[in-house]
Amino acid sequence: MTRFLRRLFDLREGEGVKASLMFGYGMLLISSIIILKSVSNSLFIESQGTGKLPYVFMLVALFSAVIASLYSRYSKQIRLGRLIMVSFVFSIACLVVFWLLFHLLDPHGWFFYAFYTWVVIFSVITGSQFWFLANDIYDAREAKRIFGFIGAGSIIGGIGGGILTNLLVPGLGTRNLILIAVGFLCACLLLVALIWRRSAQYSYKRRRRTGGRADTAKTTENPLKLILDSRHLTYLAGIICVGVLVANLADYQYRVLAERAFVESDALTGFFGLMQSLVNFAALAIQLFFTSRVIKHLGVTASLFFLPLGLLAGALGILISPTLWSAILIKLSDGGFKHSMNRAGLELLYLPIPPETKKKAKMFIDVFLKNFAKGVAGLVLIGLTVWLSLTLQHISLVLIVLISGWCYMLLRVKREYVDSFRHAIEKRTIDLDEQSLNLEDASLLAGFIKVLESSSERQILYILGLLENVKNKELAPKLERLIHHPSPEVRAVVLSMALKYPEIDLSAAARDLMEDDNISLQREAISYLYQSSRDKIAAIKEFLGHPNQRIQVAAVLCAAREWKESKEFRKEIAFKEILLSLLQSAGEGGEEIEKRKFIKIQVAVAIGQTGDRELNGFLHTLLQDEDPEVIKAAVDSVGLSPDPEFLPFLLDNLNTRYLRKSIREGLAGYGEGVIVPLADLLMDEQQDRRKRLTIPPVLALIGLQSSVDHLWKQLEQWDLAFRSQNIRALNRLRVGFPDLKFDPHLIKACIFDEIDLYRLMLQSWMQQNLTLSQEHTAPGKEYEGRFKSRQLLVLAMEERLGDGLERIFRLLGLRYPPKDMLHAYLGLMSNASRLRANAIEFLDNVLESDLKRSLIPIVESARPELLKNKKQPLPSPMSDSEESIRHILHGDDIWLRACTIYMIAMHKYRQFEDSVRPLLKARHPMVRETARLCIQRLDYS
Amino acid sequence: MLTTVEKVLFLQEIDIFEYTSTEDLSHIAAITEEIEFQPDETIYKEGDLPDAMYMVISGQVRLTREAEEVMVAEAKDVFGTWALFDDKPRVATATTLEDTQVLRIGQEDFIDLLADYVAITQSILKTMVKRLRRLMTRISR
Repeated sequence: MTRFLRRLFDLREGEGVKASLMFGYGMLLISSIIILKSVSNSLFIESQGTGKLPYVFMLVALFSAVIASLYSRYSKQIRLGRLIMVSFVFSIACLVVFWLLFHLLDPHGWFFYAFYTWVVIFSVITGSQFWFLANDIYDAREAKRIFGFIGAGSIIGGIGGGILTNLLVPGLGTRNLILIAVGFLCACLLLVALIWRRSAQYSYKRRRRTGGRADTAKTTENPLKLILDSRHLTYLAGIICVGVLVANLADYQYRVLAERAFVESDALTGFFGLMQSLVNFAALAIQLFFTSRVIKHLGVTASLFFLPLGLLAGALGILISPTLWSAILIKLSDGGFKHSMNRAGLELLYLPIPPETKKKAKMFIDVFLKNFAKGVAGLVLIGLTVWLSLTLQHISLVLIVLISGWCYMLLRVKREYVDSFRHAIEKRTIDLDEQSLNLEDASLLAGFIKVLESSSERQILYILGLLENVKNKELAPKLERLIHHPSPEVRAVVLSMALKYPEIDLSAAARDLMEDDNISLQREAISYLYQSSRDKIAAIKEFLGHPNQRIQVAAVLCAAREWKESKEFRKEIAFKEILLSLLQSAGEGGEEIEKRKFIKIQVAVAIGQTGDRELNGFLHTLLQDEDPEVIKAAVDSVGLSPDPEFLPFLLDNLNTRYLRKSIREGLAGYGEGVIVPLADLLMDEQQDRRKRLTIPPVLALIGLQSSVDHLWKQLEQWDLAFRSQNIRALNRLRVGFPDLKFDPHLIKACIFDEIDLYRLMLQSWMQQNLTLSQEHTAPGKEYEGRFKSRQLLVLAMEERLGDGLERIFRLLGLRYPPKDMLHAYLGLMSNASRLRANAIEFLDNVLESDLKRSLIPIVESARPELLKNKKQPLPSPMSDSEESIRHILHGDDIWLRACTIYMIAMHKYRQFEDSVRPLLKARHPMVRETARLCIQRLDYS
Repeated sequence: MLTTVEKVLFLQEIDIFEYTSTEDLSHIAAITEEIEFQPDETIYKEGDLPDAMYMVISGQVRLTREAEEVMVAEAKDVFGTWALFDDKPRVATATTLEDTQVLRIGQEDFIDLLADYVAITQSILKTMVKRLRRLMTRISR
């Protein structure tokens, strides 16, 4: 059964448990939503009648828009797992309260409005949370394979929930079904807790969320303007809005007819439940058997006609005979097509839109336009039923008119869709990780296939990447031709795609390509021959034992890919022995050095791909190799499946130049487990300083709250080099992982510390700059030496002031949108006074008043480049130049201390001897040597 | 022996480091080596593999190519700069004319340093761009 399910849904080993938990979560969640919707519908109709439905539609539209935008704004501040669990706890509490109120009190009309509205909002939020979680715990490639399985759970929940409602309502009664939903939600809470704990809360390879960038994007282009500027988006928005309007009017007709047929509340609840099941069943059948076929053969826009035409049939049915059967027809058409073919078609319509535009437009359409359309539907219904007192048949006529408009827009959007795609291919803006990228649309495929005939290797590879998951017989002859393309990359991709086309046989070409110089191409050739042979194990064994060592190595790479996924493979192939034999042959003298290196590198790559910790012993050997490229390959493999036994090696080699990038990425893969060792290393002043400075960038790759917390703790120390590195790392975390929390009070406190430091430094700079301008520049080495020493000190101070200002703005970027603060900083640093003025004006409008009061005077006038010509120092408590020099000598700034000591030495300032002498024993060698020079000069004079 | 600060003052005069901050110059100074040569000593020969850049602290160094003198580097002059950036063989022979003190920056150490201090790379690129612009302006005239 497990194997069948794994094959049916393409689940890999190790994915089953998490996927099953998600399956269960989806199933129980949707079941509870179906139950609650059935209950709220029937209770509302029983107490208020269908005549009041238009009012509740408007209420739902209003509240949905407000709550959705508030949720969207504040949800990013809480980690997703916690957010979902809190939502469930809150929802369970609300439902229990509702149940109690239903039983203990005699609820008034407004209560049913409240309950109905609550259920709609609950279903929208929890439904989207489910998919947010799915997107969070799976990367794009996993999602394409696994979402079918977990989506099936939702569908089964939809069917099961409705049947359960129908079965239980006679015994329990409508109101008590709320407790069934509560039970399911409690189970969901437990499942979410398990899923969240199981999932890598961080994975370095996980796609970084772009929520942070979306936040800053909100300060730029208006999404409504984006939609209106694009004909494609305008039609798309129009189609969605008219669809919502029509669906609400049809839903009203359905409920009115249901109310007429079922007088008793429990019977009505049972009917609603049963209908939900039927709708979900219809959606499942359409999705499984029709959606991809229709899209493949008729195109995406044709697929979008099914919903409006189905609704048209339902509307005509009600027009001719307004009975329960015509209500069932309209409901089945709406629900069946909406959640299957229509949804798939709409997702495809979005595909050619550039990702940032799509994100903004989609959010606007989902949060505002849809709710606006629902509100309009309510108004229209009030107008038609209350003011004009029209019947259901009249409403059908209105529906027919609206559906005609809908179909017209579908006809117009087709051309825009194809144009947008053409444009997106040219600019390569199609998001390859997009979930619904399954491009079997007949109208597009012809265009793509044409590109495959072009000579541009880049475009061919791009299109082949898009068509990776498509199976269409028109592609087969193109692949047969492309196998002879001069580019090895193209040939490699063709071989991997050709496996889907048993009608073409590339075995002869693959056998030739086995001998190619390109190792990746050799691997794909062997993979093709292996996958297309009847006896796969025998085939791979043949290649693994091949006399040509290059082919053997390529076979090892191919086998490594299969190793992870196939238990049978692991049983049959003595992979360890093969690797051992290869490494032994590579260790022998007499062979070419380059060949031996090649073998070792590829063995390292293969081990990384298997992810099998039993092979770690080989990696230990390769990590001790004399060739840096071999070590680097071994480190890259360690990074693919982090094991604590490699941590000491990685930490020891943090500063090894040629390994730095690989080690950083490898360490980041350890996630939570490496944060404390890294933080300890960072604090250990006995360790090499340059090595310690490489740690904050590693922490910046690990998007966990503890990375942020440890970096904050480091800001307590005042070594400016570390401070700058830590703040930069915090910036990267802020941008790359928008769900991490940054304490606004801490940030503000840090900013004020930096401002104080800036002011102190500015005072010192003013003093020194004034002295410099007055210093005698008579000819002679002595005078020249003195002048240059003070000049160096002044320059070093100016650099410090620049660094300090940069740190202030980086800290501001933790509190305010990072891009805005970056633009403000660049504006201030610009030579153009207009840009500087704009930046100051912007800060004046954006910053909180206390920050504004401290920072604006600094950026406006208190900067060296603006003050250079002024003679008067700013008033300050530290008006004494000697005090400022002693402050530097006792501080943590190594370079500034060295420059100051040198200046003292060249000027023979005896008064500072007592402060300089202790520095003969300073930790930093540069400070020590300069102090030695200074004391020698003072003693000699 | 020069201290690090003194080396920084010296490095400030080198045009390739025009835009490098003083603190970054201190990091460069930390990897330099002071070497003394007698007169008529060969620092490197034409065709040798490059491994370092040199700056004359005091003395004179003659640079010859195929036995013809190309230039004489004096105090604060730099030679062998491209050795920091590529592996092409030396295009000239460097021989001292008198007692000479030079500051040497090794290629490996320099590249190591650039990996830690990106700002140094940026500053050098800025200098290169400025030279290119000047060259283009001259050509267009």
